[in-house]
Parts: sequence; structure tokens; C-alpha cells
Amino acid sequence: MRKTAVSIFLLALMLMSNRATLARNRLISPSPEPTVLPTVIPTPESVNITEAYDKKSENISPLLSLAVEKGVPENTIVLLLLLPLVATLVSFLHYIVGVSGYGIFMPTMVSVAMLATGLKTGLVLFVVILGSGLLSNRLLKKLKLHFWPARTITLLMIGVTTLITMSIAAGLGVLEVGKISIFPMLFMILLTEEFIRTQLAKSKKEAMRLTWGTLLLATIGTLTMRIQMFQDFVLRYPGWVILLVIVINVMVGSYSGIRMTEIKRFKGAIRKK
Amino acid sequence: MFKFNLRDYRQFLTKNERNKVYLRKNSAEGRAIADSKFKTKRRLAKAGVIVPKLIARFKDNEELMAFDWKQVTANFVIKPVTGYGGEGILIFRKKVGDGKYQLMDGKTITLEEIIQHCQEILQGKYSLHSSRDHVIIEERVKIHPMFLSLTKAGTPDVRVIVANKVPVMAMLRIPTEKSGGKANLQQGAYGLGIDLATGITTFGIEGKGDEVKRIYDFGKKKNIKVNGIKIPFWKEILETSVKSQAAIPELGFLGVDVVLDKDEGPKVLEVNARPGLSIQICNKAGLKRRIEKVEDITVRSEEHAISLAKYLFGEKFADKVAEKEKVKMIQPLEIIKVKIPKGFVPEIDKDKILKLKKHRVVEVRAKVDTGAFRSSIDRDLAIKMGLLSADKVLYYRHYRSSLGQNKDRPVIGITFWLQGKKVVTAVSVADRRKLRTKFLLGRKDLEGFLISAKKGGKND
Repeated sequence: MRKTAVSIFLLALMLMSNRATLARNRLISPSPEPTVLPTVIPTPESVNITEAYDKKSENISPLLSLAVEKGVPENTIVLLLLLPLVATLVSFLHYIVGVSGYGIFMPTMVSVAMLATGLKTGLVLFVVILGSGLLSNRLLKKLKLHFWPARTITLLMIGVTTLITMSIAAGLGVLEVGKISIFPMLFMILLTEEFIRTQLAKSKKEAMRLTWGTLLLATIGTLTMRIQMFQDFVLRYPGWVILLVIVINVMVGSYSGIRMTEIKRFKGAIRKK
Repeated sequence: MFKFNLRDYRQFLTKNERNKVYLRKNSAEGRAIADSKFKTKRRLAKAGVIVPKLIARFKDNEELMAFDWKQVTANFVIKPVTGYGGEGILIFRKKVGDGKYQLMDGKTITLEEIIQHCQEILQGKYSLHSSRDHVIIEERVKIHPMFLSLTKAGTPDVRVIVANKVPVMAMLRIPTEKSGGKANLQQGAYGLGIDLATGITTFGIEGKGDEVKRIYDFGKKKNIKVNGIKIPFWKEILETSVKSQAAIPELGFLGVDVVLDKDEGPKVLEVNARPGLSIQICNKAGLKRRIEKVEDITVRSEEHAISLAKYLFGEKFADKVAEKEKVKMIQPLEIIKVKIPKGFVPEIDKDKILKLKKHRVVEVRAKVDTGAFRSSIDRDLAIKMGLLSADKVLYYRHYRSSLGQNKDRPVIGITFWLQGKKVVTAVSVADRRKLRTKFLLGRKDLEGFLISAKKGGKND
């Protein structure tokens, strides 16, 4: 099965390389057509999630430039294409290096959230949300409420605490409060939820380990997404992104060897001769 | 710091491999049984495995309300059916008054609080993904005094990993106050590796990997070594674990959690379709290598499974011997004492049968052959000593002799003494009729010995 998959990739690769040369020819040819139409719709309440990406690229894949011309926001395209790349990075770090977070989507989502808010603001937001979530959870435990009403109150507590923190931060002018929208906050709240669940199911230590893991993975993800080179790359060669993501994931997915962190873990289990 | 040899790691079962290769041996139905304490209990009880007796089960609030609490007065446990990590379990010592019960940790709880706890379980507070759950009430296991002395909180249990019906590795899990009374390594409990042949502990870890050398014994009121603790009912524990897998054939690779009851011996609390991998650290042995050894063997019976575990995975205790005494010298030709199985009437002259402690042994001339890995014994001798009966054969192995002939030789488990050191091992059976030495000592069984080629030894 893997062989068929690989052969399909190779076929796709050939097609893609043809396209790429076509694109290059097209870029070189001094055609009078404008490459990008600046169709930015300035909606103040919408989340401009990739504000890091503001430089309009001159080199956009012909397929994408068509979409951009028709009015699909460039930021969204970059993000949609970067997401699977970040997810690939996360799964590589999990299966081969051994850094674990809460699943694959949580670290990927949080990295997008932190891209939107900025790394520093994102981390502060995370600490505030996690802290207030845990505190309210501890207080509610004594009340012995049903599960969902207790969670709702936790949600309220998180909301209030975040609001207060944001107001104070805005007053002091220390954080980029303007960038904080509801979506990054929702991801962080989900993360808190996972923390509480893991703490119940396994242990506090395990929950801490996974939370640190998620933050580490998300930070690496955010830093990767910020790299201008990557952003340009996905816009210029979307076909390569698809190919790369599939090939790397088939490779990582069929790896059944040791994870790098396990080398340390099992070190004590080797008997000295 | 980064000095390591990847070869040393080949023996271990890693996370990636467990998830990809071994967990696929467990079908969805098998996992569903393992996830539900009620289904596990029903299956195991049917197969004759002793489990804590079920007192009641509530599927919904009506059943809970209809229950007559006068039935239970002492020694019972309330559990969520699909709970994990030991959460949501209440253990009761006795009824102390009207509508009042005493828990094992000394706290008193009212009937109202018990019912509220049951309702929380029903609503799924302790189940995965908060889905609705059932409640079971079962009898409390009276912890064996030897286990009781090892902990102040919770119930220690023995986790046995069973693959292809053979117990491949075991550990004693001791809950601590730090682990909140839970016998889960992930939560910080102690894990002590156990030698499968003898049921004696070997090494210890705390949590998921930090080695410990000593633990506190509450009975003796002092620290004791983690190694050398003898688990009572060891043979029965192994039998129970083998029976448990036979009862749930949908699970090809599982961990069986056995507790010891003071009066009734081993009881199975639950089975785990996704056993943890830290057991390899407290045994200082690799699961993968062990599973591979038994993977292709057709296991005939319970006894066969247990002798496979004993002879293939038994500890040599060579480290301990090496610490205490000097390395023993042996000659190229040695006289070894081979044990005759209990109850067998050997076809050997009576005066040749000697006594060694409580065992009957026969002296056999053995030749040291460091070119061979496994020891081998003469076929005729093995038959005469009752070592080669059909139920004694562990498995058949394909050998290529030095003359280039291919042969399938039976491999049997034997016990012998070499220079006073007891060796429990698996040897192959070969035709040595025409040879003067009926036994060949291979490298595998020569650990801790020094071979002296000097002539004029006492055996010459």
C-alpha cells in the first residue's frame, strides 16, 4: 500500500514540476497583467490572524493568484497551507523526538492562536486562563455540583479574570490587547479543559507534562509560521506543500522505532555486562 | 552524556511499536471488555477465574433508588464501571450507625453522600469523555498481610503482562501516599520487577522511571531492599493471569492486575488492554525480546505456559551471586547434578539417584562448549529422567548442526546444579548416544563462571 502511495506522489511530483516551470516562465515573461489585486477588506472585528504576513508577495502560484484576484484573502490561504505543515512538525516531534502534547490538533490550534495574539501576549493569556480555570475548579470541587454547571461557572470565572487582566494590561499599556480576540481565548479555554480532565484521569504531573508539551509544540509551531520564507514558500509552491505533507506524514506514520526521549527513559533498564 | 548504543535498545518495546504492532492484536470487542469492569468480571468468572464478588449493579437512578442498603454492612467497594486510574472508588470498612458508614481511611460518610456519589458516577464524572456510566458494588478484597506491610494507602497488586497466553513480565505495584493510594506508576506508585520463575522481586522504580533501592516496610518499621521480596501464591498468580487471557481471547497482549486476598488467594481486579511500558525498567529487561520468543509457540496448556515463563524468562540471579562470592572456577569437564521432576519414577539405578536438599538428582558428566549458546542434553538420558515427556517440551527449534544437517530439536526446561550453583534454564535435546559426555554446557548457562583449561582438575 505504501508503494502505491509513493508512486502516486512521484506522479504528482512530475506534474507539479511541470506546473512549476510553467509558473516560472510566466513570472519571467513581462506580461502586463498585475500579479496581485489588493483586495483587502478591512473588517475591524474580524480576526486578522496572520498579521505577521502583511507584505504582499509578488510571487504567487498562478493557481492561487486566481483565487486572490477573485477575492479570497491571502492571509487565509497562507494559514490554510501552513496549518498542515505545522501539524506535520508537531507529529514529527511527537513520534520521533518524543515531545507530547494534548493530541495533534491542540498544539496546532494553540500555535495559530499565539500567531494571532503574538507570542508574549499568548503565553500571558494562557497562564491567566489556566490559572483561573484551575482555581475555580478547586473552589467548585467543594460545592459538589454537577459536571456541566460546574464547567459553566469555570467558564464565567475565566471570562471575568481575562477581562480584568486585559483591562489592567491595556491601562498599563504592556500587552497588545487589541490583538486578543475570542478565538485564541477559546483554544486556551479548551486547553484548560484538557488539563482538568487529564488531572482527573491520570495525574497532575502528567497534566503538567502534557501542558508544557503543548506549549512547547505550539511555540515551535508559532515561530515556524512566522518565518517569512515559509509564508512565501506556501504561496509560491502550494503543490509542493501538499506533496511534502503527505510524504513526510507517510514516513513518520510508518516509523515504529524508538523515540529520542525513550533513549533516556530506558537507559536505566539496560543491564551492565 | 549522549553515549548510548542503539543495539542495547532493540530488546525494548517502545511506545511507537506498542501502538502500531502490539495493540492491533487487541480487537475492539476485547478493548470494550477490558474497559468495563463489569464485563471483565462476568467473562473471568465464567472461565473460573476468581474475582471479587458482585453485590449490585446500577444502570440508572431508578435502580440506585430501589437498592436496599441494609444488604451491605461491611467490607464493600463502590466503583464506576468504566472508571480509569482508580478514580471514583469508595472503600468501606463497616457500617457504624444509622445511615453512617466508615471508609477504609477512617472517615465517616452518610448514606446520602454515598447515594450522591453513585449519582455522580452515573452521570459520568469518572468516565472517559464524561459519558454516562454504571455503578458496581462488590466485596472488598482483604489484603494479604505481606502486602499490607508495604503500604499505608491503597492496595498493592501484581501486574502480569501476558502475550500469546504466556506470562512474559510481571511487577509488584505498591501505592504510596504520594500516588494517592493508587497503584498506578503514572501517579507515582512504586513498581518492583518480579522474577517469573521464583516470584522474587528484583529491581524497583518510583513513578515512571526513577530507580529506588529501598522502600519502607510498615510491618518491620524500617527500610527494606526492593529486591528479594518473595510474593506469596506466585504459581497461583501466574495461573490466574494465564487463565484470564484464555478467558478473553480477543486480547492478544494485555496486563492482568491481580490482588492477593488474605483467605482466598489471587483475585483479578481488572485487565488492561494498553499496559504501560515502565514495567521494563523495574525488571531491567525488554518486553519485545520476550514477546518475540514466545510469539510463534503454540501453547498447549496452562502448565506449558507457566514452564515457558519459568525456563525462558527466569532470572539467573548472577548479579547477586557475583556480589557475595568470588567467581567460580570450572573445568572443561564437570559433573553436574540434574534434577528429576517431582513424582516421576526414573528408569535409572536407584543407587545413582542422589539427594540434594529435598530434590532427587542424578550426576551427569558435562562438557563445557563455549561455541554453543544453549546447553543440550542427551535424548536417552532425558527420556530416562522423565524430562522429555510430551508435556515437558517447551517448543521445537530448528537447528543446523556442525555437520550441516538440519534438525528440529525439542527444547525442554530443566534445573541443574553446577559447582553448587542452581541453574534453571531451557536446553535442547540432542542425540549424544555415542558420546561420553551426555550434557553440553553452553554459554547461556555459564554466566558467572570462569573456565580454567588447566589439566589435572578433580573431574579429570
